[in-house]
Formats: sequence, structure tokens, C-alpha cells
Amino acid sequence: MASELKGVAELSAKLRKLGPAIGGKALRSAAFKATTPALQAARAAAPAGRDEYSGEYSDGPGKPRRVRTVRPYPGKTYKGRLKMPGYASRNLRRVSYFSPDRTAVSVHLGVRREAFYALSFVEFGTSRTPPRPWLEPTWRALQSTTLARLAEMLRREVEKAAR
Amino acid sequence: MIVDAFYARLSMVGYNAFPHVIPQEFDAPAITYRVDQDNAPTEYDGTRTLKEALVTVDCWSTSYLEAQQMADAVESSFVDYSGDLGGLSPAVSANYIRKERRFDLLEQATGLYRVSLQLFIAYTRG
Repeated sequence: MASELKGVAELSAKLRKLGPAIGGKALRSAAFKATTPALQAARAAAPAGRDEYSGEYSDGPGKPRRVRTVRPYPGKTYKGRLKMPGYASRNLRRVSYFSPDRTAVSVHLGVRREAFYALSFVEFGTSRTPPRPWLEPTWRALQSTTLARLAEMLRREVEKAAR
Repeated sequence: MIVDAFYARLSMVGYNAFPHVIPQEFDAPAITYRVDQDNAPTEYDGTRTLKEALVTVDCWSTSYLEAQQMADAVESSFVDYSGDLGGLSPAVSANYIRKERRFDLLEQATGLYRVSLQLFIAYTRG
């Protein structure tokens, strides 16, 4: 991703000169700050249930359908934790990984394990339910913004670290 | 729309292919596909005929190995491939095809393995 930006090679060289400890920290800080808008947009786009659903439901096969209000929440995650509407959105996280020499960093954006359904079932769909992608389109829409922010944040971090 | 040409191309792989989901009356092995993105960049200094699409192909099977083999078959049908995509009229001509990602998942409720492929296709129509 970084190679698509002009001037990143020069900035990266400056960061390397600062040493792996300071340079790596600055790199990670810049990467996190650059992905903040993507995180916020993903939080807004994440699938969220409602407290109540009204509609015609049947008690089982062959039984009459009648209008009812169903309250599916609070549900539970596979670990037994209570799950209220917006759980996936609240469990969006960024995780960063350094390369062994601490000269490169990758930031992963996704949900924590207990909110796996937001990706496995909603984003990718299942064999019987169509997918409703929310994370990838959000990322694609903000890719150029993120890259521009990364360049700006890297510049700031280099200046800050060089002081 | 690239979906009709893509369907025509996928049906040559030899498995049932459906948009989005496997219908209730069909079972795995099967292929599902969807168009994640299909657009022509807006340019005001001239009409651009090249369109860009992102297409996802999911290969479903009760066997992990078979799901992988199906994905391999789909992938290999696009290796060194360019030109008319589905034998349609007006022709859809693929100029550039790139694999964006490939991953696999197990759907525990149905016991189906899925290998998902996402392809980027630049194409012209007509």
C-alpha cells in the first residue's frame, strides 16, 4: 500500500535512520492514525440488529401465522457473553503487526472473535443467505483517503521524532 | 453488466453455478458468484469504454479437497485468458484479469466447505 505513495520511500528512509525503536513506533502510530477514518466508517456501516422485530410469525410448521413482536435480544455469544444490538460495531478493532526488523508495519481491521458472524455470515454470506458486504466496500471507498492520511501522518511523525 | 458473460464462462467449468446463493432444491458441489463492484470511472475529457468489475466466486462442497479443486478449476479457466468472456452478443471482452484474494471457510451448520475467489476484471462491451 505504501509503495503507491509519492515520497514514502524517502520518509521510510528517514524513519530507518531514527533507529528501529523510535522509527517503528512512529510508523505504527502513523498507520493507526491513518486508518482511524476507515475504522469510524466501518463502525457506522457494521450490521446492527434491533431491539424488537414486528411481523407475522408462526409457532412452528403448520401452525397459524400471527402478528407478533419479537425481542431477540439479549442474545449470547459463543462464550456466553450478553450480546446487544451493535455488538459487532463495538467489537471492531485494529491490530498491528511489525516485521521482524521493525521497518514495516501492517494494520488489520476486523471484528473480534466473538463477533465473527458479522464477517462470516453477513459480509461473506452463507450457502443459503446472500452476502451483505459492509467492511470491504467501506475500506475500498476510503482507501485513497487512508493513503493520503498515511503520507501526512508519516511526515508529522518523522518531524516529531527528529526533534 | 458483466454478470451474464461471467455466468457463461463459469458454466464451462462443469459445476452448477448460481448467483449469490445455492437454491434450496440444489445441493453442493456448486458454485455461487456475485458482482461486488462494476463501474466505469467517471472521466469528463472523453468516454472511457473500459469498465472494471470485482467478481466473487464461491466454490461449495462437502469435501474440502473438492472445494479446493473446484476453485483451482475456476482459477485455471482464467489463466492466460483474455478476449471474449462468454460468447455473448454484444461480446464482453476481458482485457485484464487479476486474482484479488482466495480464502477458505467451513460452514459448520451445513458442513459445507467454501473456497472463495475474488477476481478483478477490466473489460469492454460491444
